[in-house]
Amino acid sequence: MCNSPSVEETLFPGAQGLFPPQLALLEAGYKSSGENWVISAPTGSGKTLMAEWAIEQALREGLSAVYLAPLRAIVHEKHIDWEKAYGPEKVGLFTGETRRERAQGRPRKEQVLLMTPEKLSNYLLSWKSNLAWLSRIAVLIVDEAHLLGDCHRGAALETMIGRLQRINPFARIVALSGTLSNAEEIAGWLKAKVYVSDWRPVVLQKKIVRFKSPDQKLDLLAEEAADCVTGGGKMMAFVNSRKRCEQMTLKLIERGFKAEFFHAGLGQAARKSCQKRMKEGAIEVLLSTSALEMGVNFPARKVVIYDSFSFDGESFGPMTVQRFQQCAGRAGRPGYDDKGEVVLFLPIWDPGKIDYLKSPPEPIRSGMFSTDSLLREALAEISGRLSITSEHLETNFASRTLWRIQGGQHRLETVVSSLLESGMIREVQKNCRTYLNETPLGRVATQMAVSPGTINLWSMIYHEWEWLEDFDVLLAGCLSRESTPVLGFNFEEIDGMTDTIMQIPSSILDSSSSRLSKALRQISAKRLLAAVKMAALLHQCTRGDTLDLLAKRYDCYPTDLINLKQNVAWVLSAAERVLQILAKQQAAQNEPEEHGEKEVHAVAAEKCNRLRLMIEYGVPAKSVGLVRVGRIGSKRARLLIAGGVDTLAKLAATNADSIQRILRIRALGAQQILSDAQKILEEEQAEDPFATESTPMPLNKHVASPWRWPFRLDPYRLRRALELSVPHCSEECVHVVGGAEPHTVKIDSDASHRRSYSCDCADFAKGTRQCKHVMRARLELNDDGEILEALRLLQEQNDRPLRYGLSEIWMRVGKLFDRFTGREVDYVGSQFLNRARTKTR
Amino acid sequence: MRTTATSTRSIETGHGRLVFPCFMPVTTFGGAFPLDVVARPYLSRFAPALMASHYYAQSMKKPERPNHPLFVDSGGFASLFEGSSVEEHGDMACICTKYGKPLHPAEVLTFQQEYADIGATLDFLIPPGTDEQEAKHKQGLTIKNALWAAGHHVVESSMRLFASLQAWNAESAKQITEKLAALNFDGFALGGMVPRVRTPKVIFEIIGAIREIETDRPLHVFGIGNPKLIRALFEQGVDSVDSSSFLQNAVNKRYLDPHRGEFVPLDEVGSAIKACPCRVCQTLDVEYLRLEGALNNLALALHNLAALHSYCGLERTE
Repeated sequence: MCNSPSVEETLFPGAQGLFPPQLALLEAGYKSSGENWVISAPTGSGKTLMAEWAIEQALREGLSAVYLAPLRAIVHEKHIDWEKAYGPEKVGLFTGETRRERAQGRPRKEQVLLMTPEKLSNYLLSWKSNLAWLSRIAVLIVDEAHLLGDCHRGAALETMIGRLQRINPFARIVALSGTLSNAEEIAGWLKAKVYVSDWRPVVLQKKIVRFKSPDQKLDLLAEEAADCVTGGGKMMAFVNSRKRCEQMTLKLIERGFKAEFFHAGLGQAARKSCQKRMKEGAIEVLLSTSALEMGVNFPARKVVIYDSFSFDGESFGPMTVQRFQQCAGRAGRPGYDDKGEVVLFLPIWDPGKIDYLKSPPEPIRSGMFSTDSLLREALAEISGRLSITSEHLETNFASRTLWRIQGGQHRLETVVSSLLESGMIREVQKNCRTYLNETPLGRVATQMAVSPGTINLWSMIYHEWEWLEDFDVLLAGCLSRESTPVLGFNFEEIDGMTDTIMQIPSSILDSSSSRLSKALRQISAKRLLAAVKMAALLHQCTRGDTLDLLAKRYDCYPTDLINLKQNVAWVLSAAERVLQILAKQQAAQNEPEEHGEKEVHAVAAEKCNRLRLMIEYGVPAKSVGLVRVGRIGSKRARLLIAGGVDTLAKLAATNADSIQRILRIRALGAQQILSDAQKILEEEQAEDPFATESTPMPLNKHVASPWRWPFRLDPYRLRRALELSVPHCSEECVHVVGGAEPHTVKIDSDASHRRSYSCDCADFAKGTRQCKHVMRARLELNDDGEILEALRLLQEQNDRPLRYGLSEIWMRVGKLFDRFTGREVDYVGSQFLNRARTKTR
Repeated sequence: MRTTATSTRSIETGHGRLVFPCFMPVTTFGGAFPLDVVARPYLSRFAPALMASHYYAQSMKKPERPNHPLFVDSGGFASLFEGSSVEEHGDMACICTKYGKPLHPAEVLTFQQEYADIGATLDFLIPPGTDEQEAKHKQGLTIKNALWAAGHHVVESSMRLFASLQAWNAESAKQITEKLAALNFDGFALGGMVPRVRTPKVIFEIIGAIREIETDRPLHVFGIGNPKLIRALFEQGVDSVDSSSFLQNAVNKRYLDPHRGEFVPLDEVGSAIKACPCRVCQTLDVEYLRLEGALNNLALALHNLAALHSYCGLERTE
């Protein structure tokens, strides 16, 4: 028999064993054409090899390749693989995560550069000093390119690609994704060729499992797990909250499964260890939040999507097809399984408005439709001298965005006016032309990577409040967009939080809600409450409470607190510069006798610095001076404090031998620390300016009494009811969605047509007859007299100081109630609020 | 139909083998021309070697040294600066300007041996219309300096020494070539042709005379950036040329039409840009190129360079 080579082998030697999408790309000239490509193909269809072909082409040309992925976990995984493939000297990791990387600075001789989009974006803004290596980029590989549609990170990725094309027009762009329904449109924007495939090496079976009520879901999950594990497979289940992730894991363990959970609240070591065990096959069932949706390569034969509703940071909504496909992509990985299965749990009455099994993912929509992103990116253009006039902003920047292709017509004049008004850019006339230059405030925004909104917030706080206490600085820090993760604020926390903040000195907490609504009009009430909680937590942190203790007290994870501390410290270092600039500007405008005011604001800048150091190094106020000495970080500061040297003055007054003994360091180092301390103290005129702290405020007994709720209906549940939707309603039952689970409310009527309601939720089962679902059903059926009265009261305005008005604000958290935004938005409960107002009239 | 010059010559340099024919883009150091700073990292994508004048190369900091073959000329054009004079010192001649210390052949050679892969000896430009006696005097000094450099070129140096030639007609070209061809130079570099580009016939005669005597070693012609003339020179036996015209035209918003080999005002380009296969034109657009700005000018300069290589048949194969 003749063993003649196949057509593919003849045309492309070594093509044997390639997947169909890879062969199709070879035939289309992917390797040799040097053109831009947008490739949409399912997980496991061999996109990594496509990336490697582009990398190898760059290496052959003696140039470099940049690989971008949104998650550090993906970048690290590829870094390990490619160090082995191309040699460690050629591969560099630039995510800014480790000290080694930071010390490494910018890329030099590496040819395969792995980065996050944000890191490359930073390099591009200082393009002149990075030109040596930016000019050598032959290809930019954008993995998980659907990130373009991410409301937080999409705009930065989009503008970053455009900037690289201008700085290095020779850089080829290869965008890879498993889920791009508008790949053609993206390709049009990038002037790229497009390849779309739905081929998978492992056939994926998809099915929907229906449940009558949510309490059946655990049994169904256990059945699916047993079915998978018995056949030798492993299973992943995606749930919509960390709490649920942990609870379900415990329940599966109780049923005899080797189950573990994974979410972003876990520490790095725990996450790595869990990933390792899953890869080794030691875990039968892994429950995860969205943290594992993208890019990871786990041996999961089956994926169960346990919750069809997900939380978007504001409210629960139906899961997107995009997210469904991302989760589904984790099932049936080549090399691990020969088949894959995806199971989606849906309520039996689900109307099927979204056909998860057949629908294409939602098209990617540019992140630049967010005004904040547009402002941020326009400012970055001007700061980086990439656009120097309004005309440049239009031609160089806006006209080259996906946003413009998708119909973004926001007038750039408005953007420029807004930046001019907020003092972040200024106009300079030269040779009959108007140039746009960044101001010191704009420079802070760009250099410190904080949003224009944050600069505006601090500027507003500077002008609105004459004196800022420590808590105010922390609250402003926590209100800033960059201060993430935003901790949720629950109804049950109101009393405890009111007690906590009652004795904390604060100008902002003492401000009336009308003043706050005027000053903080861009901050939602929900965000304000979250910031109060976060600031209270950090305030306690600066007073010595440990992270573990605080995590327990505030029902969150230590990892969240570590991230929050890092981010708030970063915001405070930007705020310090903002306040210094504003104080300087004000001093320049004021008459000499008014300079007292300048000093007040200069103190606020110092407070930012002190609080930043306290948060960053975990030292109390009086010991902050210690960490200002070179060679003293958190560890040494704590040793000194434990050794009785707890202020800068004490350190300067002690002898080198004592320092050597306490810190267990060499004599020379101790002597240097001592002389540094003495020098700093001398410069501060023999007084440690940070050694004092504000005293707690005496409890004011003459405050207005707390808000009283006169109805039998629980206000908490009532407000939550307004956020729910009813996809289906009949005389017998009402289906209610919008929370973590969909529920069914059943209705019985007696002979006199009086209705009684029952719900399948856990709250109702515990005896709450008027659960939020029942209230929502009553509103739907117009059986709502008392409810409308209560809603009318919810809308009444009081003008109590924030310190005493947390419950009022909490009640107004709903989007329509949001007086802090000053906007009315489409809100599911608005019809009932209107009805309540009309009925009262 | 594109013509590729027939040269098959090549030389080894400290930064790799340099294969002719080639165009050497000119770059400067020291910030006098900001566009040079941003364009320099991209030049090696097109050109196998770069050209820098000794005058500007002195401002080069060590880390700025391109990791690419670098030709450093002698900066002899300083002899045309206002108030400059030429002084003879025994077996060599130097240029005294009112701006600083005299430009001495020894200083030029030392610098070239430290930084350059190819260096040309210090010459004295002979513009058209120069009195015959003066021309002969300057040619004599050019020969003198070439002989001095040949005698002082450190043998261990990897720098390749090209003898600078100055001529105004075939006869003068023949004379200087005869005198220098006997020495062990690595190649020859013909200067003073820029003011003669409007009379290419003269240039061709000069080159023809040189090539009649020197048939083997590489011949470079300084300062030629007109694509049509470059093609013609390659056909006449020239191995390499250098110019900054791609940059200067970019600053003046002139676009090199890759099909006609002519620089045209950007306003007249119209849809021709869409037909240009270069990466710049495929990625950016005419509105972008039209704007003033460092990156806008860079893009136009890079297009001009790509189009020049394409027109002259010099596209690199990796």
